Amino acid sequence: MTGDDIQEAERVRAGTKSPDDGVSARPNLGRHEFALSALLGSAAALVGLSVIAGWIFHVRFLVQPIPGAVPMQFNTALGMLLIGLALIVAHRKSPWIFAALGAATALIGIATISQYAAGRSLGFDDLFVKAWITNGFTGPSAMAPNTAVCFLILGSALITMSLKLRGEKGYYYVALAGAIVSSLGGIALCGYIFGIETAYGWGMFTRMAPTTAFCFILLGAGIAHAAKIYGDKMAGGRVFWLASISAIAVFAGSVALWQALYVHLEDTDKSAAAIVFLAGIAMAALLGLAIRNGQITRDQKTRLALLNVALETKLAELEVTLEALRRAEGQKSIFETAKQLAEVSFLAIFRASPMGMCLYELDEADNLILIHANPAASRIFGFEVSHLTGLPMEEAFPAMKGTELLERYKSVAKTGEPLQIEETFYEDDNFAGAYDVHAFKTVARRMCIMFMDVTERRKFAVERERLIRELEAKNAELERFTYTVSHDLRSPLITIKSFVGMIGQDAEKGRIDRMQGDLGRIAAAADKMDNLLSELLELSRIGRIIGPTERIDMSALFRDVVELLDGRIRESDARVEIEDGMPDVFGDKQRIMEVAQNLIDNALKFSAETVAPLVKIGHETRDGETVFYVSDNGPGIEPQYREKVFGLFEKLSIDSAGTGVGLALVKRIVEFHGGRIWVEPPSGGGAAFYFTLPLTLQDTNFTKGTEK
Amino acid sequence: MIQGVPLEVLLVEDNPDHAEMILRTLADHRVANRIHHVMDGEMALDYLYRRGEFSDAANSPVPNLILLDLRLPKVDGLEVLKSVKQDEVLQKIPVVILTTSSAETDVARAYEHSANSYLVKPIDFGQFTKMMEDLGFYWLGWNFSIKSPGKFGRK
Repeated sequence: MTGDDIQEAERVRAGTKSPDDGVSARPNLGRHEFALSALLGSAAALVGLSVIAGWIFHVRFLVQPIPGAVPMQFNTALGMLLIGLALIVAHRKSPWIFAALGAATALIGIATISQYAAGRSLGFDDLFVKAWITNGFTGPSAMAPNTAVCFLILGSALITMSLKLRGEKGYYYVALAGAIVSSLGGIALCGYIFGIETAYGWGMFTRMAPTTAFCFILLGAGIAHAAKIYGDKMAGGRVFWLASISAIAVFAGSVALWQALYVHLEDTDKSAAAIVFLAGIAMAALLGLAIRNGQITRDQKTRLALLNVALETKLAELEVTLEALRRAEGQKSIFETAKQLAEVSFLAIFRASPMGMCLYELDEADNLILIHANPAASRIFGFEVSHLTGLPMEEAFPAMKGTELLERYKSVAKTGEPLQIEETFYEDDNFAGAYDVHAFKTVARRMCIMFMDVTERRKFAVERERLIRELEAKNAELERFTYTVSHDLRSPLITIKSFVGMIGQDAEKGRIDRMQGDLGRIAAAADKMDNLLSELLELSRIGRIIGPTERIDMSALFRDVVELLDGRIRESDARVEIEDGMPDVFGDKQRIMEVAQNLIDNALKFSAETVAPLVKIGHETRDGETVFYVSDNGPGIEPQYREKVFGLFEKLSIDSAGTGVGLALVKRIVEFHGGRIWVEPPSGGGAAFYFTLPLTLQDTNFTKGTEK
Repeated sequence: MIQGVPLEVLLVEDNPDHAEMILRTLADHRVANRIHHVMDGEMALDYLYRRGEFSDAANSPVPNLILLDLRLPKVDGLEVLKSVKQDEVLQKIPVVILTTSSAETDVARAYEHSANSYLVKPIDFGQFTKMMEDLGFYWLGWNFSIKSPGKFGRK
């Protein structure tokens, strides 16, 4: 296989060359491809030209190179020149040149033949040059009839070449014409060589000159070659030129042999000539067939090679495609793996997530159907949520039915607008739990609700709020404390200094009457200041000094305190009733005694104006809570002052004794133990101070203290 | 004195010693004609609104000046001040805060509620008497006030 073949094959495959290209377009042929035919043509033309020159200039040697032999006629030489010229310019592929030269040549043949047909000379032979050599034969023309036939054949071949031929058949004819002419020339020449007259002379007519025969061999071959080159290009090399031309040549050879034998053999042995003739024909046919088959085989081999190239190219293409497919396959598998990995990861997240996850799908009937729930969801809800899959949200969680939240969730699935809320649950009005909820759309009509139990966090937040409030209260109390201290401690000082000054003035003026009273005021103010200071000290100790927590029998404790206050109680002429068997409490006994003492003291003060003061001490149970109380039958405390009484240095009446520290102290001790204290009017009038204290060791809560 | 009409002063003071001192110094300097002393905030409001024991107008003439302590039993001095200054009639009476507290918050709150003056009782006797004297001269001598607030503003 050659490079050109491959290129040709590729051009055909690539579709750059349509099958019609070789037919409709003039073949693109180079001068070198016609080199052989041009050479043959040139030789013939040269012979023709020299003969013409011989005729014109009477040079016998040129006209009749072999003495005694038939000379080439002027017209014959002219025909040779014309055909030779046609072959020389064959590469120009000019149809006009072919047509003109072919027509002229054919005309020479026809004119000569018409003389033979007419049976007399029409003067054509001497048209150009008057013959000055006679060949000794008689007849209507000086030119041999076989020469005329050859010219007619070659002329028609040239005319055929000038036509716009479709397919190889026209060129086939031209090549055959060339081959026949060449064969006739060859037979004639053989006749001269072997002395067979019938081979170059037909009947009694003039003979073909040996030079003419030689020129016909050249021209016939040249024409056949040119036709082959044209035809090959036009018909894609599918014409069996060699087979045909060889067959013709053998056929011509056998005709010549037959002619020779026929002439020389006796009439009785003419059958031998016939046998030779038939064998020659058969050989020609067999040779043609053999060559044709060989050509077919070669052609098929070439086609096979071309097909192979095409197949190999196709295979390479397929391999490229296959490789691409393999790569795509590889990518696909990577994609699959990634997808699987993503699914596995998602499942792992879904299962391991500490956040509850519920996936829902909005169905045609506008229900949010639970499709998946993770273990955390069950853990948070406290029941197996995955058992509820397939149910609408309001059926899975009946509390959601008809709520605004349900509609908001549906809207998440519809609009894709994410939702973030904190859901708080209450049980019997008490904070039961809180969930941080995020709802978001995943794919069309699907949504995910992620939630987290934030109950503890919320509890801490509430506790923190409580502590902040407590701290703020402490701060406010401290502020009030410093304020009252500065205010209330200045008061007695002002009194003392002012009355000292007044006594001085009075002494100057000799006014003794007021001096005694003023001195009493000074002494009282000093006492009050002392009281204030000691109570302030006491108050400041609370929160700093706290004794060990112990179990306290409240009834016994109150009895001890009453015994301690025996003098004051007698003075007030009051009666004190203490309930027996009150519950025990846990706390600092010394401090609880102070509470009891102050409360009883207070009750005595409040009921000082009453005819028969009665102080009752006891306990009751309210909402499961044990509450202690100390009540009196005094005038009671008006609602607007019930909170104020516990304030530092607050006194409801300027007449009442005391500094205004006692109840503030009581409140601090009770709260320090984690209890509460408040004032209520008892059913029978007067005032009652209620308080709670820890009943178990676990309830004791001294966190607010600095136990150091 | 500068004004020839009887001047009424309402003294709201819970500390009897302090009240005695104020009464004596004002009397010594013959500043006021009559001083009405009440012991707590509730009594002060009763006096001003003529309630309870002060329902008789003869016992509770409209004062030309109110001397008001801040820390008072029952109703706080600041409450009394608020009440007075929110009343269309009583708001025209000058209110002088006379207290032992020099706390910034007290001063601020008093002025927020339109106190006309804020005085801190001095510990020094000489200063105390001087302040009482000046107070008398300024508020009851130089300062002009509406003679009978009831005539104006009441709708």
